[in-house]
Amino acid sequence: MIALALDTSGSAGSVAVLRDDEVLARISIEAGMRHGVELFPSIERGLRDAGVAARDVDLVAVGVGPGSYTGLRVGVTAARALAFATGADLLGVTSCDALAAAVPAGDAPVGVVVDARVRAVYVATYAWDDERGWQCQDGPEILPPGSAAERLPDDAVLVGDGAAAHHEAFARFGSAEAAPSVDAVHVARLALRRHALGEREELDRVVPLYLRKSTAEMKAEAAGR
Amino acid sequence: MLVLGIDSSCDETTAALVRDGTECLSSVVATQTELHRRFGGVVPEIACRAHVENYPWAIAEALSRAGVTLDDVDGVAVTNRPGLVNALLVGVAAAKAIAFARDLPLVGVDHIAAHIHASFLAPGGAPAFPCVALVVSGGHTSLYHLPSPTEQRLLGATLDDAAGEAFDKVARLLGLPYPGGPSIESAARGGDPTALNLPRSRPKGDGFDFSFSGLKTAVLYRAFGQDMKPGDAPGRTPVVPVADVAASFQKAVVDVLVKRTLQAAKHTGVREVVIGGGVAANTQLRERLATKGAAAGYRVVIPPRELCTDNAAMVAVSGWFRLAAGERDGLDLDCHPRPIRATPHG
Repeated sequence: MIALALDTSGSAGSVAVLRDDEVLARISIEAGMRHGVELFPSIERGLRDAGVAARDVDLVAVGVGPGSYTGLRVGVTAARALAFATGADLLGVTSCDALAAAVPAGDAPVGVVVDARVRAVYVATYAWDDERGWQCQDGPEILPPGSAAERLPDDAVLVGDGAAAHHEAFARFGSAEAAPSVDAVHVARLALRRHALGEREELDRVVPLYLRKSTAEMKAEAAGR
Repeated sequence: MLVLGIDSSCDETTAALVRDGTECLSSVVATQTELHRRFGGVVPEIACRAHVENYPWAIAEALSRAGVTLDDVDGVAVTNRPGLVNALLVGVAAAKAIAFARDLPLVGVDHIAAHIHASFLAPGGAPAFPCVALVVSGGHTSLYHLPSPTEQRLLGATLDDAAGEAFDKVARLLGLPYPGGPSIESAARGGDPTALNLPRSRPKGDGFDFSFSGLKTAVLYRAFGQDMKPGDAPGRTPVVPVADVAASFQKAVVDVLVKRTLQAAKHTGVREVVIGGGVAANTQLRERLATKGAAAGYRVVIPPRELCTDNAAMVAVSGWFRLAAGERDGLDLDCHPRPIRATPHG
């Protein structure tokens, strides 16, 4: 089973190619916000490093966010169209699941906190399960940093770039030992596990997780239109 | 050569299949007009979200309607400029995925050039070159001199509002629904096009530029009174019947577009005139340009209405010129808000 995974939910993206549990290639995209330019050269390089042709991919896994809207649109559209053109299966993985998956097993709950800019964070809470790994208990939601901190269990250890970006709100929490940005290897592993359990998604059901309507819709609703 | 065209530059998610730049096998347009109507114009974030949901469906639908599969496709052409960058990125990501997965050549296409190339799918046959082309839509109003199909020299462009934008703004003043082009055209039926004395403004200089913002203001004052402010007009009844206002405004726009286009044709000494863009779907403009152009001795090439508004068939034609010439773009193809070739008064 060959999996191609990509995540463009943050300013640092990544591409990974796995054969079952073995990582054949991993490419970091230091794109800033240029995923539209950098993503496909990175996919090409990843598959070449792995010695795999696009038609050999069995499963495309994509980080669906929450995160940068533009990054998510590039990544999700790319993944949907790749799956369509190769006939591979497609699974979407939330960026919060992928961030939590990078944290070593532990008794303390994990709080995923990702900077959403505009004075808000994406927040979700995870608890360890010996069979299934980190399981989402609450969220993901978009909240002001202060409200997000109140939502988290007191003993949570945090992962993601949100705590550093809003230090004053999250100072009382400890940090998990994990990278602050999504690693496509974890996106691939989570998708491979779900795929092995028989899960399949229709292409059209794999969409970005925005968690928020557009500003125009929110304004219209606030104005009662 | 069978080319898959893709365009997501504004609010239509599109895909099409065209053989050898002349035979349109399918053209799919997933329209978003309903999503944007309550906002009175295109909301970029809503357009971008809809594009993601509409691909790859639009591509699959285009293949299915054409009765072909991806195995039959020889190249992929995608609009990468000009337009809403975040909207362009979605179509470009879909195009790159198809090209990469199927090892097909990929080329980026200029949306304005593509509107001109829609004329290659006109029922009367492709234009001959050199020619003059008017591209007129919600985002553009530009005149070009084309020595050959792939060389566009800008003769002039709007200095303020695009003609289609003027239609949208005047429709809003009159309380007519978005998009303004079709609703003004429909409201103008039976109206008196001479009821309002509206300016045919011509910017200073000897170029072929346009200006429509003064026309919109003139409509406001003549239709509602001199003391009216733009924000106050919607919902009020104009002092002149809406049909007369719409007909007078439409005639003023069409007069300027037709006159300037034929002046440009005379200036450059061409024998053929081409029109494209969403406003080229307007019946008055089509009929007046055809009649006046023919009377002045020009062959006027007008694409079918569905190929004047945004579509991907025109992109496939445009891309075919590049692909047939052996041109290729890399997987690092970027998107740009503005046209690249903007040689003023070339």
